[in-house]
Amino acid sequence: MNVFTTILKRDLLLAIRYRAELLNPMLFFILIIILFQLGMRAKPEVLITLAPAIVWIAALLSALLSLDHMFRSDMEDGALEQMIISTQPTSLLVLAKIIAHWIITGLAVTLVGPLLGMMLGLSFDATKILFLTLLIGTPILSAIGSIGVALTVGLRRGGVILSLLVLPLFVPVLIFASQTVNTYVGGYSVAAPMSILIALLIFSLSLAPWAASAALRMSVS
Amino acid sequence: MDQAQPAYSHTNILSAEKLSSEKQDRWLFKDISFTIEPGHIFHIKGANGSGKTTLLRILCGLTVAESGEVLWGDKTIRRQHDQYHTQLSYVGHTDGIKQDLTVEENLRVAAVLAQGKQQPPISFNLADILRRIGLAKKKYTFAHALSAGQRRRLALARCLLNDTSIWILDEPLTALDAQGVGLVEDLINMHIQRKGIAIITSHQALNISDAHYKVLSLS
Repeated sequence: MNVFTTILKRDLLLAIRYRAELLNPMLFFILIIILFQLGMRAKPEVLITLAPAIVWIAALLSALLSLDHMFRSDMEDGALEQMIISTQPTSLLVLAKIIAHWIITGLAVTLVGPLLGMMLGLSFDATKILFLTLLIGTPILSAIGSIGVALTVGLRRGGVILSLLVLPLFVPVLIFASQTVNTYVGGYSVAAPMSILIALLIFSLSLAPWAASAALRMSVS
Repeated sequence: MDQAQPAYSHTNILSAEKLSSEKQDRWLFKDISFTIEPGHIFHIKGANGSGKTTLLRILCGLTVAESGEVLWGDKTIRRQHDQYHTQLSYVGHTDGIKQDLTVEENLRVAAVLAQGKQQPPISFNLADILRRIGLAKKKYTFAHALSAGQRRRLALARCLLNDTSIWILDEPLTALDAQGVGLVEDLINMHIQRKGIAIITSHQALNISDAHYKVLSLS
């Protein structure tokens, strides 16, 4: 576990020292939602049904914006090679990087998202559910994203391919997360869509590190 | 100066059997074989683009050769990934140093990566290593504030962390001043006296006295 905490600390330290990485996704997230509000003239009751989807689409896009950072700089300065030839399990290193990416981007979105949801007209109770979906859903984005980044990090311009590769995989998260909030607003039990989200979280966190580390080995060679 | 240290506990013969590699439909090298015994230095020479770095990466196990095998002892390195990599230090032409970390932080991360799975955590004397590479006063300096030569020294310091018996160094003398070159030569000399293997690429000749020196020219 020593290596896990070391890499986690290293990535967080780098993020704090290079603040753009920290602020950019967050700012982007807030701006998308504010722009939505400015551009729409929807009635409050319509806006409430749209709110969860708007917040979640913004969360997806801000995650996508920051994903490339996960391995790119390590690839460019050779740190990734050192990780791969080390005898430490690469999957553990990748897991540390996934968690670090989530803390840097997902956690901020999770904390700010409910406030923006309220701005879009969600009730206090509904924002609590929105908070829960963000808490469970954003780590999934970091986990799935890590596979996409690991596959494209060896390419010089991997950005477009990364979006094409990763966005379809984000769709289930988007559907079930916004559905959870809508179900709650409609007055039904959220147990079913929420369980599926939790299942997705466990599934992606347990498999993504292996898939991403295999992809990294290919990208580095 | 460093006092004599005991020989490495794990040394073995490193050999390549008929390695071939191609890049964009052109053979970089074809069917090259060589054997490096413990206590030898292997100097790979060649023009730019002749495949020196590719060969080093194959020897590290980072890149797979089109054909051929790298053997450590009598087994291929692919079959003994962990044992081989606990004995290996690689300093590539990208140095693996994070600009936004200090010298000390960079070395601490490298130390954790270098330590093998089975071993107890390696203990190393950071002050001693920094003194040996001539960065004693730079412990808390950010890597981006170092000069190119100092960064090179920091990268080379990784070799000293974990008592590895195989050093693979890609252009270790780039950007180093005369004193730095002397320092690298001293380190390699000591490494070879301890029955280690050093594989380097360099356009400069190394002034290494009694080492068993082998040169491979890639054309």
